Amino acid sequence: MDPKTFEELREFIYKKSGIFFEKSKEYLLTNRLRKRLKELNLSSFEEYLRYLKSPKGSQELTPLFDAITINETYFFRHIRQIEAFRDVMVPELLKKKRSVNVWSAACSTGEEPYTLTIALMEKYGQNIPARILASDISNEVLEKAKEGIYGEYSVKELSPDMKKKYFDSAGLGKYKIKDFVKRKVVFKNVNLLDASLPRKVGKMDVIFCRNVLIYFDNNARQKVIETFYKDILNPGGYLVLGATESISRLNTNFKLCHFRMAIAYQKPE
Amino acid sequence: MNKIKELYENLANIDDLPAFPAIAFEIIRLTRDPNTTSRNLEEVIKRDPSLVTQILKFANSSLYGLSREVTSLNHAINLLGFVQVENIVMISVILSSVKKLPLHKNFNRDKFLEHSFGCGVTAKIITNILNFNFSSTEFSSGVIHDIGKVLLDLYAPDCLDDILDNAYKKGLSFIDSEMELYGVNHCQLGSKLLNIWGLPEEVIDVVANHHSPERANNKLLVSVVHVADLLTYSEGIGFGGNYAKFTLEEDTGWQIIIEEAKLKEHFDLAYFTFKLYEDIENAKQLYFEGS
Repeated sequence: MDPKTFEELREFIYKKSGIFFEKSKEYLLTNRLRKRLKELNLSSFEEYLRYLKSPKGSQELTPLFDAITINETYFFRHIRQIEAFRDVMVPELLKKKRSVNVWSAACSTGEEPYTLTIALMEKYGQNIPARILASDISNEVLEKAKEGIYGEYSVKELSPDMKKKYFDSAGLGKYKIKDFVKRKVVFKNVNLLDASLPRKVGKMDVIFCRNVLIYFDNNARQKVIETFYKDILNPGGYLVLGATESISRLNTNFKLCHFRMAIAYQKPE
Repeated sequence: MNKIKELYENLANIDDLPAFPAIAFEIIRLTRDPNTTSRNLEEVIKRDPSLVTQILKFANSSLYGLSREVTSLNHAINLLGFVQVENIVMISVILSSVKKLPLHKNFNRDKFLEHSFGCGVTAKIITNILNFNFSSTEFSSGVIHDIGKVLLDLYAPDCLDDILDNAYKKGLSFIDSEMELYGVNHCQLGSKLLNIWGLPEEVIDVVANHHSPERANNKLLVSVVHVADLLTYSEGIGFGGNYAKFTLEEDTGWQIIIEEAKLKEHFDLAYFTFKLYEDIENAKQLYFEGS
């Protein structure tokens, strides 16, 4: 893809999804879209871009978003966000209360809520000053999360020491999360668009909702963000989106905060 | 009078004050003279082989995006332009004078250089993204902005210790700590030194006001370096700690940038940040070998 087309394409993607597609992952996008080009009988990425911007283009958004979301999940993914959570957000919140409520809003198979728990245990010991809620819309992934057995790929970012400390061996190349970590996380089936969301979830201090909003249309996205802001987050609480995901285009009162190579949104005090 | 105040008052009379090399001075004079040709400039630069190397290195770095390899000094001067050559000379001077400093327990020289250079690079990246044009002064003045701290390390290392201890204990920024203890800060020290050296006004403006951009002559330029300084801390190049979190929107320098450049309408701060982080990441791999 020539640089100009790539820039235009990623601007288009950002406008439609709020996700900034990183240059370093261009090869991934190219590979995946090449298949789409073939299926649509288009001969170049320029043509594809024209198609996206044409009236018919709205049908193409779902396949495009499928191509840009790299649906990988592993422990300590996007370490800068986890560091900001552990070293800045939580200590700051703990100045005003003895324990913080943390919600992993689309926890999938559990890597994210367990990561947050482990990160806090590394800092505060096993008795962490936090309650961790993890939710997803799929019972299937929630069962897997509760089971807590992971392959080599999921733990690739962990040192041998960390693996030993927080996992039991569950056969060749399999790691089972230890009970003292698991006990800290409460799993729940929750639909983010459900009107009873605030009642089901309660009040929160930190919400992790990474790369989820992309699957909602504009109205639903606005509604979810409003519910987070008005009904769920405590004043001073944080919303952590995907590493390159923004809600700039939505109408909110969230404040954008900068951390070391990471951003998050804060509800003003 | 305390030791730092004394240092500030008597700066011009210090015998072993780091000198601004005569050759660098001559180059700056030449680049600002409308009658100078690239041959004149080449003649002077040639006398210092390390400067020749530096200029060729910069001409060939991705920062300037030139596609062919540049091997002749004259070619490099013509490609970069006089202003950029002047900037490179200034950066080389500052880097080499800092490198000669004695090692000191609290003052981490490598981190200092990394932060200085990181700030210059970040200022340049911000300038590029926002389509400003400071003829690269943002880069050289970004590199030089904390030169006052070098003076502290050279002539008042015990005070530097106290400033750092005090900042750490009370959770203060470096500048708040030095103002609290001595009432004189590294911006004042640095700009006085550059005055003695006779460096250009716009560079002195940045050094003097990088913590108070609202007082600067060139508010936009100084604000860019100010924000770059902020980002370079938060981003982990150089000293850490002070700016683990900040809200750019509430920062005076950032507000000046938004105001002066008329960016208010529809400016997407998150998008700007993602672009900036991406470019910083690339620059880091280039200049700090992926640290």
